Amino acid sequence: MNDRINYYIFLPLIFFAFLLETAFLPSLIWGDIQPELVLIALIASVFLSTSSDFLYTAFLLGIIFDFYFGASFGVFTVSMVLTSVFASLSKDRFMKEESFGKIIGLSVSVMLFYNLLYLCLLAFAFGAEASFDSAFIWKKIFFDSLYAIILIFPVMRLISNKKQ
Amino acid sequence: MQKTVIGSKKLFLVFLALGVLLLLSSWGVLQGPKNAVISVLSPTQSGFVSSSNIFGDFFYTMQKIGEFKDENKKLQEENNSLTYELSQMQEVQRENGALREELKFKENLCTGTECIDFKMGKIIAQSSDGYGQSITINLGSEDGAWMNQAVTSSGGVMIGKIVEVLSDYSKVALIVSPESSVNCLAQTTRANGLVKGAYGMGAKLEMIDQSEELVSGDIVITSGREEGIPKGLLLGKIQNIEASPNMVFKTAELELFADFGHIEEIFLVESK
Repeated sequence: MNDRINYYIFLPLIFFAFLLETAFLPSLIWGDIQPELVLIALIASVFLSTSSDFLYTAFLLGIIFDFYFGASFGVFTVSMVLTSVFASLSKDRFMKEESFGKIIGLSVSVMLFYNLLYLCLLAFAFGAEASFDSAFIWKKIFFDSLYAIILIFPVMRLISNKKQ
Repeated sequence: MQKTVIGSKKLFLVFLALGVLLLLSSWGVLQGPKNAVISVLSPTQSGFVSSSNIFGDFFYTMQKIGEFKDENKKLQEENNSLTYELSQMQEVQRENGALREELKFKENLCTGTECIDFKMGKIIAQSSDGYGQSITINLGSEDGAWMNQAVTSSGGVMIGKIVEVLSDYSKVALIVSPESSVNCLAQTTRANGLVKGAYGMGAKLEMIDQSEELVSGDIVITSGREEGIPKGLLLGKIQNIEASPNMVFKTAELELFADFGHIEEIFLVESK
């Protein structure tokens, strides 16, 4: 088990984020971009991780999202697992020491990676039937990054074992 | 900062498990686990959806309060004109009935929504990702739901159709989702086409033959040519028609009637 994540906070937080994202927020801000709370919590846990247990978390979350909303089964799971791997590799490569700027920069790049990967998988699943609005995609990436910038640091502080 | 060692064994295990699940999903064996997961989470989610509706209504009212006065006036005028139309239609219906009687019509024809039953249900969860939009509802095969069945909000406005049926729950692809495509008609010109969802672009009216006429503002309804979707369910109004001699088909954007932010109850349409 990972010594840097407080699982007594992290697991209820993920559950709460899932409920907020799937049952509470859609009625409030439907049609516009909503924060990907579960993904943000997952990325925060990957940034704090010193073991690769986050793969299981990403896998389970992806499966649950696929059960509920998967247009094509596996799209969410693959996206979440590969995004968590990307986040972990980026952290190892660029975050030698924990700094606010680096965390923000990496969160934005991870969000960009997730969106592009997710769209590629959707396009692969739907083939020629898929039509995309590039303006909407960029808007989504912008807002996802913005939410990540706002939320990633507080979430990391919340689930971290070390009180700094 | 400490480095994370991503064990290749763990990664292999995760993708192996995913491969097995994909295989099981393609064989349709995952229905049971899906139903179980949703059953465990749905009571809490229902609570969140209900409280969200209360908050949503409040914010919506606050946001729209300025527009309500104008809208009220417009609705009153519309109401008067609809009352007049209704009375005219009742006259026509009476006349129609008399003529049918005269012609000894034996068939059980349905007019309007008279032969359509609605079964009420609730939303358990809504997808939050802006690309493909779907909802999970609390009616499944045990409640008589079936694949491709139309789902409406109140007032006969179609919001989507069922794309996956579990025993107690169903997944509904909203008409704005790329998973959904509905055969439809333009009410005035009778142009036939498909209403298809697109990632982040609402819904489009597609596959309209170049010879067919499209009029901006015309109401689009379901054509009744698909099993499970009766004729006459409301979809939206035609906007921004795209037509050029180089294109094989005409397309148009739709202003949808469904207000996806404020769906409190959903109805499964059972046509007889």
